[in-house]
Amino acid sequence: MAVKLLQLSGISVGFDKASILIETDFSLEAGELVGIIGPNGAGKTSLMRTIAGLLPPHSGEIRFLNQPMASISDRQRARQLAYLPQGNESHWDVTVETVVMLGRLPHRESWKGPSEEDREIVSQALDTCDVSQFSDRSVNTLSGGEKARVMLARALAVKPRLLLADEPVAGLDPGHQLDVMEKFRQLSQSGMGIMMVLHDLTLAARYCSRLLLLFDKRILAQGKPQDVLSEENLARCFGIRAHIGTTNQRPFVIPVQRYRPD
Amino acid sequence: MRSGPGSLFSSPDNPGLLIVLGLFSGVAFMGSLLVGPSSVGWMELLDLLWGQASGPAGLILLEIRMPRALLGMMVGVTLGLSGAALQGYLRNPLAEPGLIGVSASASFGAVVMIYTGLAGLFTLALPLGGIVGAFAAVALIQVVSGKNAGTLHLILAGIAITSFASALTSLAINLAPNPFASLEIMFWLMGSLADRSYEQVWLAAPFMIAGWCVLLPLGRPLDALILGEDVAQSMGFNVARVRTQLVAGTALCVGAATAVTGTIGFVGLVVPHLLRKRVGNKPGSLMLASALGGACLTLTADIAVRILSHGQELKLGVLTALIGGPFFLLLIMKARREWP
Repeated sequence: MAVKLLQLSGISVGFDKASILIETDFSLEAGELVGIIGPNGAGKTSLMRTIAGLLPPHSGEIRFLNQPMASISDRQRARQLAYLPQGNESHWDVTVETVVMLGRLPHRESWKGPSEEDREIVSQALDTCDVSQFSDRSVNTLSGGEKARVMLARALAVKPRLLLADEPVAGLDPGHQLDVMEKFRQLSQSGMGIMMVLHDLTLAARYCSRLLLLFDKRILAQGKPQDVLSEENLARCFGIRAHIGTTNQRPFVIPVQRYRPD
Repeated sequence: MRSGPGSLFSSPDNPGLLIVLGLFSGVAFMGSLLVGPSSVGWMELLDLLWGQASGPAGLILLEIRMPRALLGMMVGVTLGLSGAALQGYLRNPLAEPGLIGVSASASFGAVVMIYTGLAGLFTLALPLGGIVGAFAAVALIQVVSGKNAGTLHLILAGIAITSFASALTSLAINLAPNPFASLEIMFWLMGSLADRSYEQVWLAAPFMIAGWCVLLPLGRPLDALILGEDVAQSMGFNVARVRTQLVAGTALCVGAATAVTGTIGFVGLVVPHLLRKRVGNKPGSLMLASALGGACLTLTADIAVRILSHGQELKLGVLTALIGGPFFLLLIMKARREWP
């Protein structure tokens, strides 16, 4: 049986007093690629931020690697869990290699430079994401697709057990979307647990081993993509009528028109 | 920006740069001991080093120039280091050590001492007033910008405190009992290292060194902040704690520096700018380089002040602003060409 990485029980999340998610239960095992879908404002990003330790939950318990998250030090958590937020911003004009090396910060002792092992891991991460050819270039000169891969390489350099990615393919062209999703699939097959927020339902259907549909402060459905992406769920959550089908045994979901069931 | 491979100055972590800056600082420190209105130079310095300090020459070197050089070095380190740390934390190359209101409040604290005449009663009144002013600013910042405030709140609180403290300083000049007091205040505000004694060195040094010790360990979190606060936090760095550490460290060293020398502008702004590319734009590596660079620049400017002064003393703060202002404009124009 696969290792249970994450277990959420009765988690409520929100800002101030308003709740965004109520009483959410969820768990994730090593090797899973879980997609989180749902309309804007359904709490997808808040859920990710809560798991990443950025937003304290109002109530409930998060267990990470069978320990209560609250009992794990920031440093310990940061060595096992990587968070890839939206935006891919770099505030200073540093090189690609510098950015990816930042992923090693949680593992390095204060005052020490990168070790041989750190360099090895960074160069592997650069190779895995096909960005080693511009490791000397400034991140700010890269295209959106290249930048997204650099940020992914940074997260991989952490060597995390669990990777949280918030809309990692937003703003990428279709080719690069497939590249990045393939990369995630390979990573999950090699044992990493991955949780990602997606808006593209076709990619969600094709690549995720499990989907989590958030709606109205709760998990409306979770399970295999073909079960979650039913006409009824899509109509209720997104207010769309969609054409759901397969081509060459690969599923696709095409939103057709606005539709609100009574 | 592509760093040229093989160049001594552009390897990312750049020990070569630190060595060069360290050597320059040493040379500038020696220069600071050698230059002055009286013709005490190499021979006397060598005598002193051989332990044969005697007569007025030894006195000038040890009692007049040495404390001035020591303060110049420490103030330079303070300005360079805190400027780099603030720019790194705020992710903004326009930040400078006075941004959070510490310089203006320290100035005001010192001005109160001149205004009330306490400064004339004992030497340490002035720097003590400055340090109290700096701490008042920090307390205000912590209250105003709260525990979980973002960078914007910090900047806004700093602006508010700076303008309030400046207004109070103007009020003190306005209400000064006599024109001499106003003049004294205004001259003090210009910033200078002249005629400082060991008393002031010993008073300011512990605060400055404590401030450096608080700021220097921020290198790793500042590097992590390259990717924004969320990523830094997820990498195990407590951003709120980093901010508190930054404000406290800056207040300690910049407050103490301002308290003994007045406001010396532009060093903390320009030095990080000059050195940033040499450390591959990494905010963590920039701190130490900028600290040494600040020492070089402040000591050199203080030597220039002594060479240029004839009769009326040219104030160090005036010179740094005179050179720093246009120089900074040039930097902006250059940056605009590189980043249209």
